[in-house]
Amino acid sequence: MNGEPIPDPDHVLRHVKARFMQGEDIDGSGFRLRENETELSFNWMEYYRNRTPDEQLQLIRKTFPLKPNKKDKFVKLNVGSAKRHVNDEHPEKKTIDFIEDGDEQVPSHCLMTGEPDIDDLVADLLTDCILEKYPAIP
Amino acid sequence: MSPTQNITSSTITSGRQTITPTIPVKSEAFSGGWSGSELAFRGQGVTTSTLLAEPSSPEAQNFVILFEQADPVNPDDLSAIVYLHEGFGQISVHTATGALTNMSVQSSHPIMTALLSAGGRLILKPTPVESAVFRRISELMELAIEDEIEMSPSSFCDLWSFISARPAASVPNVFALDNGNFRAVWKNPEGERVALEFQGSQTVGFVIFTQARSLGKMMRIAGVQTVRQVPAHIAAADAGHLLTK
Repeated sequence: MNGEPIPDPDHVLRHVKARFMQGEDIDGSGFRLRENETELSFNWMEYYRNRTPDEQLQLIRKTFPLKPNKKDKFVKLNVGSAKRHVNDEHPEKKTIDFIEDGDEQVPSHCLMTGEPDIDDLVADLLTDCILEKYPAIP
Repeated sequence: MSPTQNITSSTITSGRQTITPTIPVKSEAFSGGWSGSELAFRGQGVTTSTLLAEPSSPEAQNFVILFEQADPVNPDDLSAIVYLHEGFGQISVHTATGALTNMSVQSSHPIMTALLSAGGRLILKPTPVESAVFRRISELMELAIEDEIEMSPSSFCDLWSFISARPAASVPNVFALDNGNFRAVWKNPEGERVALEFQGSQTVGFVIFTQARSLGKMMRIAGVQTVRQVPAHIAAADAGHLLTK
């Protein structure tokens, strides 16, 4: 239900543009707010709970609202690990959370919120939590 | 000593103004270090164009950088960097980047001293870090165009000044941000990093992660500083090793 937190054991995908990666390195700038965002957009994999991770990825690609470029990626984070890492390691102990925000077009959409805000350090800390990278276009 | 040779430049990005220079360059000038050489535009050759032209300010002086890509084996590689002081009237253009770029620096900047004492023109062999960063920026410019992002000339100039002043530095990863700034990142496998977002107008946003070995803990700082002051912050955070090979 929208507004509910995503469970800690679940996973989210973030669309990262090719400009934010070099080789295997994903930069923290891929986790910064874009101009039209107030929170950071992700897609919740386990929204499709009874599917395999591959199927979850396919369904997220299918409903993704933007037009990714060939070299863009989706990167996968574990919700609980990302929350703990940011809170433990940020000098100001900032907290993040992932909140359901799906609609008909993009049912898996979720938002990352930050308290008191999402700064460059939060963004760089999130790169430490990347579990896997997938091509945005298969 | 080999005789004078012609070097022509190629286009990286399209822009609003075009010139057609051919540059006779004495090849001994490529031996490295600051050096002057014969150089004249003859109105022929390969087209170059403008994109990242930085506006000048009263406290600053302008020069033009020509990034030469004349290596027949690796045509995308940077073969020479030509610095031209605008005040010497050698070129009558306000064209820039990709192949040519205008830069505006404080009058006290070392490049200005070197340029003035060399008669307004310098030809340098690119350092490995300059070559790598130039190649990467060319890629990023293409990606930025795809995303309809206009990259900041001032950010580019500050990044270029920073890496040019550190010829022995290790090669950073460079990224193009949504706000048009370039971000250079030096990292190691232990998770330490120095990330510098060149915000233009001599300002840098920095994020530094360094391991405090005595405490067994990663220390993290972030902030905004001037390009001139940020090396002191890197040193104070004991992160200078990330910028060296």
